[in-house]
Amino acid sequence: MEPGVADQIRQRYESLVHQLGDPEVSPLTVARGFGQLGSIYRAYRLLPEAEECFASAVRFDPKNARWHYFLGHVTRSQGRLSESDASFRRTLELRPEDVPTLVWLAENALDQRDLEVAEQHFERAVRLRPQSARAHFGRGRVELERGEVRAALDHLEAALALQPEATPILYTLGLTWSRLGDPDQADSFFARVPDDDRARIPIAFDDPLLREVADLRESAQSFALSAQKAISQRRYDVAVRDLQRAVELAPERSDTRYNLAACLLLLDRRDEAQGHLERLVAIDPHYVQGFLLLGRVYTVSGDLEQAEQVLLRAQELDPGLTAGPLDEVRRLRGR
Amino acid sequence: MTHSRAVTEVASFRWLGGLHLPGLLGAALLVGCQPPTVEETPPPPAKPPVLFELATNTGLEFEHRSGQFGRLLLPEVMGGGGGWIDYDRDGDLDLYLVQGQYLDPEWREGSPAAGDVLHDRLYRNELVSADPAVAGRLSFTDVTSQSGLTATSGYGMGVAVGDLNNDGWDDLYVTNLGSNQLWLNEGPGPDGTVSFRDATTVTGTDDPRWSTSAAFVDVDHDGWLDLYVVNYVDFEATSDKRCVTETGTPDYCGPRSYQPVTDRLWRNLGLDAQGEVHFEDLSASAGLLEVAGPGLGVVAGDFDGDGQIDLYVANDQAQNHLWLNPDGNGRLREVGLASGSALDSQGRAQASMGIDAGDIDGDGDLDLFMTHLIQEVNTLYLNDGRGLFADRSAATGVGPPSIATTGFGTGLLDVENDGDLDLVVVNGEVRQIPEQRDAGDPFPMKQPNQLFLSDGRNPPTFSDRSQGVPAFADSLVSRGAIVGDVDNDGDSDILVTNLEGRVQLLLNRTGNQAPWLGLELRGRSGRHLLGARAALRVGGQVLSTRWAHSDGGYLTARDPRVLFGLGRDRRPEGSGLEVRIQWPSGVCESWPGLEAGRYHPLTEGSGVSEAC
Repeated sequence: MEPGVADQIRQRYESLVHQLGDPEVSPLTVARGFGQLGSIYRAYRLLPEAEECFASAVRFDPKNARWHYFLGHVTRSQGRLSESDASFRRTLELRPEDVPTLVWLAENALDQRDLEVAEQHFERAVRLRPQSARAHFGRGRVELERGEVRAALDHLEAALALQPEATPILYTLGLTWSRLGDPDQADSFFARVPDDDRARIPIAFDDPLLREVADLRESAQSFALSAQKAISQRRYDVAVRDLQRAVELAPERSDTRYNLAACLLLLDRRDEAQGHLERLVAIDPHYVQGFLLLGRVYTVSGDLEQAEQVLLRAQELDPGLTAGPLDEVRRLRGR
Repeated sequence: MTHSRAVTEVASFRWLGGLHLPGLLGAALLVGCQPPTVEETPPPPAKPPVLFELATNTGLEFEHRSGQFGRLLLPEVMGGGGGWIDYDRDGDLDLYLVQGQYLDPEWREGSPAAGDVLHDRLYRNELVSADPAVAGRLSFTDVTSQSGLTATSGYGMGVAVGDLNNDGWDDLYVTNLGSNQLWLNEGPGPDGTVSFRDATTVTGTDDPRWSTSAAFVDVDHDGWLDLYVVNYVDFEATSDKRCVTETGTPDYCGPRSYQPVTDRLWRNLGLDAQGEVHFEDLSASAGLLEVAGPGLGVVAGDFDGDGQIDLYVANDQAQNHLWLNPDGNGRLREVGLASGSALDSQGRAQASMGIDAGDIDGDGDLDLFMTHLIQEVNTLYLNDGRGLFADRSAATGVGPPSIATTGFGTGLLDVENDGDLDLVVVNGEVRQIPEQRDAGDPFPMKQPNQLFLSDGRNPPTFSDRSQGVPAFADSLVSRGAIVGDVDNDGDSDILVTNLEGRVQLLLNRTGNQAPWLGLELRGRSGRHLLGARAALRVGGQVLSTRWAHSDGGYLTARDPRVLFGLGRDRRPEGSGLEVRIQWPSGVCESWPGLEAGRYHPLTEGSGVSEAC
């Protein structure tokens, strides 16, 4: 476990222990302590631990919707849909107009083949938040499950109008047109589905509580994963931000630093890229790709002597490499 | 105690359970957090078991070794295949089991089993005795050394079974991390011993990459089985990538840490003058080199109902590929996305591992079932008959029970012989489970296996009947689920392979209490005609449809015979059963008046001709 992650968990754990040791402590404070620890566990996908904490939070503060909501999620993630339902229903009693809760209740109902309940919750979500592509998309899926393909089309098109690039909507519309016997229309949607799964754009959905938990993640791997997704979507500025955090937290991660340098180059931030590549090959003197990229940076910068040196090193490390970049530098140097 | 271990202990919430702090008790009393009283309801009466584990009792003591040395290398969690093969043609299913290997000689020297080289094993089933005077019984004898299958020392993944040279003897294609091996069955020698020879080089069918599943399929209808090999990712043990979880804990890498690779298709050219079978690599002209994917499972069948045999490939965390074979000549066209079977109902690629195809909803076409990672749902795609699929995982109830498990091997089978297809799913994680790891489990990825029974409707609803398999109470790291009637009693049994563990033989003791009909569909050469479609008819009405296939599952080869369960048979008293076979050649024939309760060998050309 990364020290930073362990520290995060330890701090919340010790805070909870401190609260529990205080005879004057209020149940609401204890609930918050359990809930905060549970949130950290949930952020790092340690679901059984998170569940225990949220269950305790619910016991100490049964009127706080957020603990029921989180408990609904961790039980759902472990495949226990009826328990998840109970938690989400309790959340809804406490926050009757909470759209995320309605959507998750509907998803649970859809998974359990209760199309009436799913429709009812998605419909209510649409009424409360007409701009939610996710709610319209859910209504469309209910109709598809019923075999009502034409009815599904209306809802899916409403969802697409709200978020025209969302991959799940494009794909589902393609399938719907296929089922309606119009392959040309279908293909026009399939053509917009990226081949790379990481480049696919999910349906935006404002879920403040889940976002709050996701934002707790501070491990190098979390930032690296988030950056990978951003790279696939060509959002290099976002990727650089996340990769910088990952490198700060785990300076020895060669791949991460390499990716950071590559993204910086794509943003024309060559000096910063060069700095990271020099550090990379110093930390990991066997990282062939690092030497190669550094050679290209030196070449572009006109530092041909340095370029030749690092490309030579790359060639030594992997004799199977193409000699093209090295030959090019030597040609530029007139050798 | 290492620093990281100390951190883990401090961070574990369960540690708090040992504390008795006054504040905790006080607060608990304040809010009255006694456990709520639950009104007790009597448990429903237990249903009798349906499958019994008998591996050790029958001599199957094979134990898989992943070759793990603490390096957490991806192949360690991906292998474990095997297949049924009646290699000696005595009428019962023998068993080929694929073994792992130590991944690097240098590491091997440091291993507890230094110097050992692991080998695949062949077990002969003694159910049918060679000596008519001696009663046979279900038991297995290790015949690896006498069969010539001694040079199987690669890091094994899976196996395909089929008769490549049309001599009536089933051959083997073994996939490895590294070079694969084609073993031709030579039939009995002068002393009657059946043996194999390595024909990989002479046939040119090696693939040095990381191959997983393979299928024998006659893609060009020329009467010779062609070979489709699924490849996974570009893996080098020496590159030793290091992966971590989001908490920074070292763990196995996933497929996205490596480059996916392309699959391979070899066309069987038949025999040369010396009687040697030859192949040509059709991968480029088939279009396979244009589309890479981290492939794990493959199943062949006519998915769009045009009479040609297509291929479906399950890719790990990438969209799946449906390769249609529109002209029946092996020139393939990938249509996964447009078919609705490449991604789930929400447009997400899943970690497809195991796969099987069959007529799940009883409408006469090939549907698909696939297993996936934990927190994904296994998917069931129903076919509209024209190759357009709808994800009906939720509607059929197969989705939610899989959220908490990582599924690998799977198989469609009629457990109760009631006429519909049920499902077995075997599970085991690919990432370490923290609770098991912290408890000191050396292979902490164990999960329970599952059995689901269909209600036979269209669409069907599946109910969890895992409790009917006492062996499923023990969690293991399972990979293969190989369906076959190992005791020839007319119902489907299951062989489960387990990583770092023994195989399990699950014998079905209930299926044959219902009437059944078995078919062995062979060509004139005696070869099983894989891809043949069998429809069971009564009074012109089709009761159910099955396909002869040995592919599907995960790295495995199943029993190619066809079994019809007749438990829901509504035929009038006294009328015979009729089957109509559509052979891979495109010819259709029927056989009226078949008697239930036995296997019928049906040979192409010996039935009553029919228009297809």
